[in-house]
Amino acid sequence: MKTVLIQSQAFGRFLWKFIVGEDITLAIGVVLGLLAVALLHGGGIVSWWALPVIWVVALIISLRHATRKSGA
Amino acid sequence: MTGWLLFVAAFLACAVEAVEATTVVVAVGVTRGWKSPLRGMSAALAVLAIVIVGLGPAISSIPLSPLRLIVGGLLLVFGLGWVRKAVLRASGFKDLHDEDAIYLKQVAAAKAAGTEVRAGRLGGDPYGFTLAFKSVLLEGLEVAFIVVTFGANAREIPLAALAAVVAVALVVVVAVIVRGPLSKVPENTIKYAVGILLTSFGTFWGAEGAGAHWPGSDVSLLGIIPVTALVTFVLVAVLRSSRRGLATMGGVTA
Repeated sequence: MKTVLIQSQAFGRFLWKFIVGEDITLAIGVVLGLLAVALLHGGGIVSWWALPVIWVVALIISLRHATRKSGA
Repeated sequence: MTGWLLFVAAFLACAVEAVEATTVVVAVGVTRGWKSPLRGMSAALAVLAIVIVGLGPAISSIPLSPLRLIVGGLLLVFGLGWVRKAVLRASGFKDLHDEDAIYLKQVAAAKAAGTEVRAGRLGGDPYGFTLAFKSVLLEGLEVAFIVVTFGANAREIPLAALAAVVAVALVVVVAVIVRGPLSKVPENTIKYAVGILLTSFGTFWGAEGAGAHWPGSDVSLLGIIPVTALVTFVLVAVLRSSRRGLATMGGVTA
């Protein structure tokens, strides 16, 4: 049982790193973007623009984090 | 319309991952003999084929709208990760991917592993087998992810799988001819292009899955891709300029 738990945790960590990568900001941006699209669409407002706008902001924030580390 | 774009995206993504895996297999093969690394590579390819054959139809059976929301979202996160790395590399904040350096490092490690571990219980070289297996499996998982997500969302898994097979076959043939690292392949540029394509498809499918209707439907991809590219070019230009500013102050360490 303990081995299964350890292996599941290891697999979960691998999957997380595989999909999310080095910075969670991008994943948060995508989730917020999808939520914004769904909310705007639910309210009858044209919503296709929301996802790209939000991921661009998330990408800028993520790049700022990365470059600050490099330039420190 | 999305068929050929899907093929190009899957082909480029698979080719670039195949180059990375091939570098390790060739380094081990040249240093320690070919039998075990080729066995390791074959075993990993078999596992990947099972993953694609098993997951593909299962994912395809999910209704299109939730599939596009979940898988489109995952593809977008994945693609943005590639774009982030590509922008950091292109602006000089991250080292470029250097296949020659990786090859030399692998050759040195394979030599340092010593001769005493070469003879395994089955008469092969466990080091060569394991390294080739791990390398092909890890790089191949990215390929499998792209093939399954692209293929399932477009309802064209066979086309995405065909792109993967053609890309891997091409890289293997070239590697057999060259017998060295495929450093002439413009890997950093291809990775940049793949990042843009993954991000564009992820944006299109993710937003559609969340309920949006793109103007012009599929044709809007012809607008999303160049706009995504343009955004990344602007970010590269801004970061390059900021790096120059930091360099004149002596602050950049990367």
